Amino acid sequence: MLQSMNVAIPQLGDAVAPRFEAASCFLLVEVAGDNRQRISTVKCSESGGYRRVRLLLFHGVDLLICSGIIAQHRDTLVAAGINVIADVNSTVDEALDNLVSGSLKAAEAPSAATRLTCALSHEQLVTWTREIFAAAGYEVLPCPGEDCFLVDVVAEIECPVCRRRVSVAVCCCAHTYSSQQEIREFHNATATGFDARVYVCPAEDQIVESCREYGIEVIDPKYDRQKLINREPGRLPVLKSVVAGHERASGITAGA
Amino acid sequence: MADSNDSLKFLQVILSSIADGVFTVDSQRVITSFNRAAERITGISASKAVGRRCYDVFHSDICENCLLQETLKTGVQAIDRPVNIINSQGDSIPISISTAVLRDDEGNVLGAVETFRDLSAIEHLRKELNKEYTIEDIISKNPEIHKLFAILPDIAESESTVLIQGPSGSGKELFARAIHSLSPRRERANVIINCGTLPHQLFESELFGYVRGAFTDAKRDKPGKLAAADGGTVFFDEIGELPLSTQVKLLRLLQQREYEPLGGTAPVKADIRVVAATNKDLRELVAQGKFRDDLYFRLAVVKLELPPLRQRREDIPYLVDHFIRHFNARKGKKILSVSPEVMQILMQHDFPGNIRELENIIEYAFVICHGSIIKVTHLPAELRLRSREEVESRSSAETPVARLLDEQARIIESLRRHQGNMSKAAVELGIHRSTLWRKLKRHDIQPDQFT
Repeated sequence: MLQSMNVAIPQLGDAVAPRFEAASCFLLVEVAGDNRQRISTVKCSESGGYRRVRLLLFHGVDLLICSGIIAQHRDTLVAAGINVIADVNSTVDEALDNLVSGSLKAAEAPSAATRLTCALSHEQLVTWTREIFAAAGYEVLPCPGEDCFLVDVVAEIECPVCRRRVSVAVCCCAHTYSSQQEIREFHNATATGFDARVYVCPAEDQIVESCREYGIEVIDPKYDRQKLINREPGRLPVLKSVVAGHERASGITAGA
Repeated sequence: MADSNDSLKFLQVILSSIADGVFTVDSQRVITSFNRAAERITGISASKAVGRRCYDVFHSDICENCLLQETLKTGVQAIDRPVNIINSQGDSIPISISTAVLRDDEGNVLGAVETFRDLSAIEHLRKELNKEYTIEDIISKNPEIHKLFAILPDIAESESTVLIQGPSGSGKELFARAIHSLSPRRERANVIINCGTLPHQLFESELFGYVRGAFTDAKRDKPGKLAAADGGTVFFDEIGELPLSTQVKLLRLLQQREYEPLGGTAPVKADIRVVAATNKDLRELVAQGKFRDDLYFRLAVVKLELPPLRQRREDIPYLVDHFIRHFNARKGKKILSVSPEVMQILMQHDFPGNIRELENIIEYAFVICHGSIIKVTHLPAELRLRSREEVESRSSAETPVARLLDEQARIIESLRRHQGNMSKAAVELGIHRSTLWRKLKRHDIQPDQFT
């Protein structure tokens, strides 16, 4: 059962307005349990997010449901004691129904897109990764220096073509903060010293995109284990992407 | 058929290789294609964007009066219209957009196409050139700063005199500019007077102006800064540097809201709003007899205290990112980030020079760094030396086991102090949240037990 609270929704026709900072009309609703009381609308003709922050503070709003909102305005609202549920792209009625039914909840992170849904904990991902690389014939080494915390596994194998050692650094998703930031820090930590870098994580679009930007390979724990570890003759197992300096040994197909 | 497929592929290659964002919509404004540059600028992948309505992806400030809809309705193109969108990280991105309608061979409307260009770098330089900073330009994740943000519109809206106190380089001028830009006086001038650099003999003539014949060489009337600020805001920076003899003149201005130009005979009304800032403790100066108490109380109607950077360490990574973007735009470089070691040094540094010092460190690194990552070797020697001395003194004093035990104790103590709040503990320990998380695993510490 929802406690009584004042909810504000930027409104455009029947829909939640696309952007908090540009919304010219706010619907104010007092929600108590299943009831919606004292429905009123307030206009805001001036431009700028902070005028709207002020408006919500003036009306004693407890919760803002909106679609797009700049992170800075969201942080200010939260600091001022107003919870924010963003990225709601629906009609106002649907948003309120979902709030009352409990399917709409305030998220901690700026965007749902940056948070992951993974059934495996970080520890389980590390164990899974070590097993995969070991089973594929890699030598799984102790992690480098104490301060290199973003590298969870280091695996080495002899290149089947040139016989040189191929060194792979692996970071397993820690589920503790924005994965984009983790990928970037992993990239910074391993920019040199490794032939290949792997991020173990559910292969969601944004993750794949970020990794592609930094030349990091994504391995999804849902990938077919046998396809990952089976060594094709003359090829490096596990890795799908091209390893610089070992092009002739790269490029197995390890589909999901 | 083969030709048509080849043309389509060729078109896709062109679209994915151009630097401008391009996307198409159908007649219901549902996105039907989204090129590589559009993904880069918005941070949203094509697979996530296609099939959604354009306003659910872009969240632009003109979505309520959509240009694409206008183009679809009237067939009229829009060219280079400035717009702000929100990217996947929640940042406001300035872009310029152009729209055109898409028709089939018979002239039936199929949808519309929009091209857009990222103006972030240009907008950044324009703001810097014109000093047009707003509250949105203040970078902080610190809840105390955000509490200030929440009351700033009310403060700006009022006509009250504001005193901003904070150490050097903590962003006092940015706050003063933000107050002006949020105030009803924002369309008028925001005149800055640096009391520390203005010779006090000239203070009166600079501030109030003079009339012809007021003194030798005064051959014509010269309006002062107050006249230039008529209807706007005057920002007195470093107000604590003002000598006592000049303070009385400022006091009279604040009390009577009028002044007399040098040599003038009639008082002139001063329609100005006053904001002052200082890095000194004015109450202390009052106690020492160096600052008039009546002037202090006139100035400190609304008082804002800005914390030093060492008290808002969580802002350091965001400020580093900001300065990297800033210097990339100014110096035409493409530096991506700093190495974790550099971040660790910065997180542990006390920054006596505050944000300005951090800016200088990054600017120095930009001069030295020719790669894409700022490393320890790119930091100023003094900072490198200090961090090395700290590491050496720590490692020489302790055995590895003692160091681990000490680390465990420090983590537990910090978690206890912050009731298990990992973010706050990580900031206090000068490490990233994920690093703390991994250390907790290693030491087998459960953060829940401290909540």
